[in-house]
Amino acid sequence: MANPITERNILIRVLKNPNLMENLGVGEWNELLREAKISNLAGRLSADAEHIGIKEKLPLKVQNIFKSYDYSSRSSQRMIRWEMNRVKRALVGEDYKVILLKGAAYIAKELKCTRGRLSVDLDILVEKNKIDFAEDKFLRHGWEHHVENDYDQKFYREYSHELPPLVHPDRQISIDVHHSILPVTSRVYPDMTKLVDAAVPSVGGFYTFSNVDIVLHSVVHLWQDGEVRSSLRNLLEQHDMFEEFGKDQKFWDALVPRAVELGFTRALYYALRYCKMIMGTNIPARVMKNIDQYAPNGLIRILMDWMVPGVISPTLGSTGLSRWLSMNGLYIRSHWLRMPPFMLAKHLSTKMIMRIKGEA
Amino acid sequence: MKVLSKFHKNKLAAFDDEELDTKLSTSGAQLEIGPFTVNVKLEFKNIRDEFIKIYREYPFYNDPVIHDNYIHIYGRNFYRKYMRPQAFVDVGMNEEFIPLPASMGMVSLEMGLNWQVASACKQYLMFHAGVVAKDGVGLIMPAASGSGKSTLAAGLSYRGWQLHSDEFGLLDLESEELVPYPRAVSLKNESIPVMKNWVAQSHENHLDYFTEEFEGTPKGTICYMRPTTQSINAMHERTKPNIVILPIFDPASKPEIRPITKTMAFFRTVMSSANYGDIGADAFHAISNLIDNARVCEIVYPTLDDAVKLVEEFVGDGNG
Amino acid sequence: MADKSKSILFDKTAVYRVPSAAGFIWSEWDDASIVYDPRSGHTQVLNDFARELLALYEDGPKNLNSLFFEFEKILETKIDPQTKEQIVETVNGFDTMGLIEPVLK
Repeated sequence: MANPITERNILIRVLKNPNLMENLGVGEWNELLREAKISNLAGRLSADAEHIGIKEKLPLKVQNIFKSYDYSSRSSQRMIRWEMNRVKRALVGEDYKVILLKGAAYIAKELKCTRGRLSVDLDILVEKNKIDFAEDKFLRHGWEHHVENDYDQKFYREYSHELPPLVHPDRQISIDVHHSILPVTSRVYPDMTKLVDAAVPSVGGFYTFSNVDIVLHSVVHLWQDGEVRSSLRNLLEQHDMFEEFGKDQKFWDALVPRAVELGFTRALYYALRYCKMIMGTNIPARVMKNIDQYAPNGLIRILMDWMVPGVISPTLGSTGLSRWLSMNGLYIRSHWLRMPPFMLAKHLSTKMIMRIKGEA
Repeated sequence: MKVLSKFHKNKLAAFDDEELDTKLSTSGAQLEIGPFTVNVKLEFKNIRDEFIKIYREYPFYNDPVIHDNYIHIYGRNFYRKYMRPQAFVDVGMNEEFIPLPASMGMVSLEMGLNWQVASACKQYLMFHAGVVAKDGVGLIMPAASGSGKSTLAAGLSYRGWQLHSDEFGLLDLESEELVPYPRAVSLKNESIPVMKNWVAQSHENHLDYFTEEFEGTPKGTICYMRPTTQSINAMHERTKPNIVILPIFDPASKPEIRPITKTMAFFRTVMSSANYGDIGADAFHAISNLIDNARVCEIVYPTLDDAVKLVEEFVGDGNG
Repeated sequence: MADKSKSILFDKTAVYRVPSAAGFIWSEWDDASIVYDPRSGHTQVLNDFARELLALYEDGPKNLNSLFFEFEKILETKIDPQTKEQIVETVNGFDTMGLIEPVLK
């Protein structure tokens, strides 16, 4: 069921088979580098080339360009690790679980998807009844709220699932302190205690979610809460995790039942379907069969099959009206799921007014 | 004689202006500036004319080569392109640039090139500094905007020094050599007449070296000056850095060379570097070695002429 | 909003050490020492006073009192309250920069 649009895309082809880099022509390199830069995946290509031992065989120009991305990804991961160190220092003596999310969790677990990856924020999660204690500690130890604007502060505090971003003036990295993995206004809202209870100890006194929950968090973030447009990097991260965690059959046994328990079956359906379709992910047939019962109805499925491959990479697929429709169709879909309609209207109109007034 | 970059085996092309114009308006002209190759596509005739005036002596490749970057300046639709033309910039990096009127397209082009090198170049240690070289002397002049370092570097280059860069000094982290990146020199406001006068003192037809003056840009009036032919032809000749001078322009001052400590020179050099933090330990080692081996000072000067004399004096002291 | 003046991180009762993973890289010139911390990617300049204090932590973990004691041995004189205050300020700086860390019981 490989998709003909993504099959033609050179970036996706090389991500699936990095050995192709050994025999690319000049025109192909220019196309590949252009696509990779736009999708924030140039660092990944470099890391893949290094990993399979072909870097020295690549054109000198490419080696030189890759060197730049190597420094960038190392720098970004150093910043994340250091911010973790500083967070731990600030929270010395606090005895609740501090759970690393997203990029920080991948770095702590040294997952394949961190290869050459750029992460800009540190995301952590504490239980809702602990978040004020954590915030107080951060503010007392020099972090400052990044969002000064009253409306945005109010939005974060009332409707969001995280504190307004905190930044320490000595460092240029923002920490997002969450109490949930989805906005409290989401229609599908998970019972967070289940995720926190299942969290496991990780490096430096931090915790991470269980492997299944780490994947489901990424999945729900992309396929229910986020924007599918230009999200090749997130699809790749899910592909990597399915393959890496999936070496253990227990991961596959637990995946669909856990998605049912947390209410994430539709998002998981999309993730499995499009990872397999676009990245050729190795997923057991029994898992695909099992998740099929949670597929959307026929029309939506056809629409999604038409839209997703066309927008997953910013340079892919159709142009003109059909591209506009498919991009905005997906945007509206995910934004619509994020909040009840009346609140969405308020948020957008207020943002709009502030932008016109030049305050945003 | 132009030396080939170590990155490309392809032959350089000798395009005449007309061929260059055709390249720029179709598939793009593959321009080489020091260690970087950029594919330049320009949809506006007036921008192509200014571009050719400044860059015609630079190396261009005929057969396709791998680019570090591409830059495409285009009009968004018929109305905007012909009636009230606006120049949009695509640098392939998910960044939105504010479009400028097409009459200022050269400014968009140069700002786009700046942005690409400033944001994505981590393979070389980069200093926001004027860098020049002569007879084995590699001179770095790190400074904030407004210190006159751009004018000073450009001024020295029209008095026999090789221009590496007026604001993007590059250092190779392995060989610890300065890597020339001789872009067009960007002159702002008061420095424009100063440089025009400076070039007129030593060169005939001095206005050939300058673009028109673009008034009312986000940074005031801007004019671009092309580097000397010698600097363009030497763009692959690298030099070890051995002098660091911190320039301070003060119209009311008495010209003076002041000693500074190595620690001060180290920190000012670090502070001038845009990618020191990203490069990390390798950058620390490179700047430590640089300062260990360099003679350092600060100069205060009221005029370009004084500055050039102070630089020559400090450089000469080391050889005496 | 928290009051900035309260942001003293240093715990006067705790034992501090230079983290085992630190791997500092040094450049020394006549007037100062410069240290690069590969974990943070940050570069700090230390005068002789600060360099000496950090060296004492490099010798081994210690609490504030034993830091004062060792420093007095070097100076071969008792240190006054003002100097003690300056020491606390300096080591609080180390703690904030992550050059030293409290040893957890």
